[in-house]
Amino acid sequence: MILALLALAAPAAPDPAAVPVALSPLAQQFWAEGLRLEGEGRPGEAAVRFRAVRTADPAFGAATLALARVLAAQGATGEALGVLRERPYDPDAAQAAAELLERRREWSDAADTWRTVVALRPEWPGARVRRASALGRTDPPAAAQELATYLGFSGIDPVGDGLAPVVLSVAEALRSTARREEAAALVEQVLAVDPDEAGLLGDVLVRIEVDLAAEELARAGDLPLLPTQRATLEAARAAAARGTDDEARRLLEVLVIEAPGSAEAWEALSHVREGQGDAAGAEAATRAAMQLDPRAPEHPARLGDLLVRWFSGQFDGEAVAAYARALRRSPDDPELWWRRAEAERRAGRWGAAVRSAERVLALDPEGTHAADARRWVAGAGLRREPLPELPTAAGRPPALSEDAWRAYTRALAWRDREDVPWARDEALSELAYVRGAAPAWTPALLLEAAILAERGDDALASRRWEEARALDPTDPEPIARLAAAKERAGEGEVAARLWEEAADAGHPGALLRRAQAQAAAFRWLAARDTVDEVVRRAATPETLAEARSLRDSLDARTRVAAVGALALVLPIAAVPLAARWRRRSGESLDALVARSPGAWRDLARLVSAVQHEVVKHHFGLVGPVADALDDRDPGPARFAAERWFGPEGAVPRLAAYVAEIEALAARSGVRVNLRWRDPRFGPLLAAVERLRALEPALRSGSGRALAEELRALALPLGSAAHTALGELVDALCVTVLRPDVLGEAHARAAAEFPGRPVPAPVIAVPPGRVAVRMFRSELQDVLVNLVRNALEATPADGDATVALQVAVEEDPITFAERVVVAVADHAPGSLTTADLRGRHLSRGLGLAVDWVARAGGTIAVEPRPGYAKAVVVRIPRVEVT
Amino acid sequence: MKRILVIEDGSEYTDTFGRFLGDRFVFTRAGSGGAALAALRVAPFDAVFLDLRFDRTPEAELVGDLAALAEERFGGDRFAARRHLVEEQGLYVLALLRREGIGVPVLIGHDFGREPRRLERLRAAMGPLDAISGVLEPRDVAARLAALTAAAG
Repeated sequence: MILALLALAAPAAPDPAAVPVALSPLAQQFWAEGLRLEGEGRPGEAAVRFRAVRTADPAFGAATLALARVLAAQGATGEALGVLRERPYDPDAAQAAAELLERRREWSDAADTWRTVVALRPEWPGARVRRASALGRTDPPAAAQELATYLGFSGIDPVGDGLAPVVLSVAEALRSTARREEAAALVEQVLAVDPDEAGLLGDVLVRIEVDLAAEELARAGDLPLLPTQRATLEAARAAAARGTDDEARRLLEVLVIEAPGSAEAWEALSHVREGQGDAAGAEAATRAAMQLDPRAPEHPARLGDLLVRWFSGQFDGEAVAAYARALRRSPDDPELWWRRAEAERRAGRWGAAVRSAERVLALDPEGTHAADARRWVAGAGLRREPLPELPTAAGRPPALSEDAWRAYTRALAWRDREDVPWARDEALSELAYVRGAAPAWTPALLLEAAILAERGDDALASRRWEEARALDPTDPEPIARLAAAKERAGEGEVAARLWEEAADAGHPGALLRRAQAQAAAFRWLAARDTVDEVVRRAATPETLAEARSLRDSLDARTRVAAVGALALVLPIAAVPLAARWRRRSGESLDALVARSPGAWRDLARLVSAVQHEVVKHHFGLVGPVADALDDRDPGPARFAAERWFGPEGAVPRLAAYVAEIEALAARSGVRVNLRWRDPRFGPLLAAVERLRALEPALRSGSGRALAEELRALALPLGSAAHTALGELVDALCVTVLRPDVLGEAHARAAAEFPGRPVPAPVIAVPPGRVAVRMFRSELQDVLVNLVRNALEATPADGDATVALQVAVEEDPITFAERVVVAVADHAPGSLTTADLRGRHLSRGLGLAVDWVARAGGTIAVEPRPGYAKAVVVRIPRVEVT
Repeated sequence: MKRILVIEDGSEYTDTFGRFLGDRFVFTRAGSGGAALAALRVAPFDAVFLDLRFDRTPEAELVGDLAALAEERFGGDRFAARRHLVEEQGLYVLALLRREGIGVPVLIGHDFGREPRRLERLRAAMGPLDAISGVLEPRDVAARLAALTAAAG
């Protein structure tokens, strides 16, 4: 046997060409003779030759292996091992030693030696199978772990590595030591990777599973609850539904002491413990339920959920086993298969995950997870493309020394390490060296300045930018950086001059600022040219994206203006045509809301921002500036001019918001024209145009006429705009909860159950106007989903009456009111608030939860007198519109 | 001159009021509830101008127990709870001041025009206070501040 095994490592026949030329001629002669004698079955004589070779050249490893071979062939395995151990870092020697130890049945030493082979031959995952084979004799769980590691490798060769027999022996060892679940998990894992072994290992798996089931059934004893105990369980469930988890837990903890054999009680306790964040307690309770009632699939399924949800991936492998167990009882449940697939993927068992995904598709090809499952299955066949050939970087500038270049690249690398607190200091230290070696090399100066600015040292950074600017006056980068620094320092005029200079020099960011200012000043054609220049020069994707967005907005506005200009040029003959063009050149926001209801949320946000940030914060100054001008005080006018027309001022902000609204509309296929077609924005934008024309006068702060003009603008820029925009936000967001709104939602849901009589709903709305800030169609959809859920949960012969009750609550801190809408039903079942927070909701209920959350509201399950439960939605109330 | 503490997450109100009302009031800025409390404990102020929304304040400096709020009021949704805390932060700051026994008059820069009942309840629970709505014109702010400080005595 030993000879047969060792022969695997020996050459088939002495090959003179294999004689290493580094050996002395005499050693070469011994080596050739040794091989020949070994081949002739004369190991004793061969050993003499190989010893001579080793003496002549101790570094010639092949002689050691050969000597060990022939010693083992003579039965001197101990001596052979001693020879092999003289070369502890030689993987061939280690492997030969491990094999010898196995033959000597020294399993523990063999396993240790195989670990050395694993370390020395990382490219050969099969060494782990060999180690597992040895470990299986002394430590089967460790062997299973080693095999799991092996199965995690990609590109393994289970047949070539002899996996199946090793798995059989390890599984059997686990089984015999009462570790049947681990044995089953191991076999399942192997079958997932290598389904070809299903014949042999599948039988083993079935036997282990039957053993397990029998054991569990022998231990099981789910006992029914006594009437008083059931009342306690129901009381606990009601307490949990009310959200009083502490009370529910107290009742259940006592119940499981009184009725420790009730799986139902343990499972209820598990839910309450989880609701309180006690994941370990929940998991223990579910395992108790599983032991008491091993045939129910919901317990292992929930165990899997708990392990996945709470234990940070520590026990994903066990979660897979739990789902597998649930699936044995419930093999046609696609949802369970999907959860198993997800756990397998997280556990690194991607092949198994793909097979589970295939089951999902087979069972429910149009289901919730079908799209993801299809992607997983398709992805399993994907092969990665090789990296395309890329141009190499230009590298070191010829004028820079190699040391300076390396210091510069080290500085770049340090700068990227934002996680290291001292990285900037290191980078600056490297750059100090570069500056000493190449003081005129501007990239290093710019990098140093940028790092100094990041560190908040604008003064020193500015010095570096000044130096860079002096070295290369044509480079716009240092000018733009200086401009930004001056802006941060509050030196607005200097900053503005530098920005202009940077724009003239072609800096994309500075040009973009110039384009935005031109757009804000309604110089659209000039802005368009500048934007084109930005696009040509843009160095960063962000600048490019911003420039393109501005260009789209400008194009839309220019088209509108062109239509207007045409109407002026052809005042008589083409008046009807021009008027038609003009009508078609844009629409009001009403058209956007009508055609794209889903845009309401973004639109409301933008209109609200204009109302708050532009009108409220900035245009309240119009009156006081006029008053100051009357008093011949130009200061407030100059202050206001900066607040209105400066880079962050009201007018550029308004232009940006208008562009965002136009872009939002364009994405919905609507071309809005806020200036000419929208009754809320039109007067504001017209007033801004007039205000813009006053900018030079404001900056100089001259003239009583200016004061009068400003007073004429106070209303359209101020309270009139504020009111109009506020009304627009309300119109977009506010829904009044009238009985007919509730009744309509109920009717829509009831219509989905055509063959079933659904009684009229019980609707209660308090007197007065109860309104919420939520788009009507979304509120309707929330209610429809809740009513549908109630009807679905009610048995065909149950009472399908649903109540929709509205009330108002008050926040104790903000005194804001909340509208409470309760959808109460008589449906049995155990929907809880925790379920609503969980991930496994029906699609409709999930959407309802999302919509309510986005409206700033909450949703919970609560008890309701006269009903089984109520799903209660709370949304901020709007008092007056 | 009357001393006014402006509690806001930016500095727009402080700058504007300082520029236009600097001859009648001295404005000091506090950027968070904690800073406001510290300022009010060490220096006398005649009134507070309080912004409601604090978008730019770091989460750690927001007044209010975000975790508890998320759990108790927002179904575990921390994001929604944070949004609420940001949008209503001014009132959380006001509640903090009142809890700490600071009864300085407060002018809230928020439009309660559509929530008259809410404003009345706030007045009853956390007064003395007033609110100024719509477009903030410095002269209106001055008039309200003067009225508040005069009423306080």
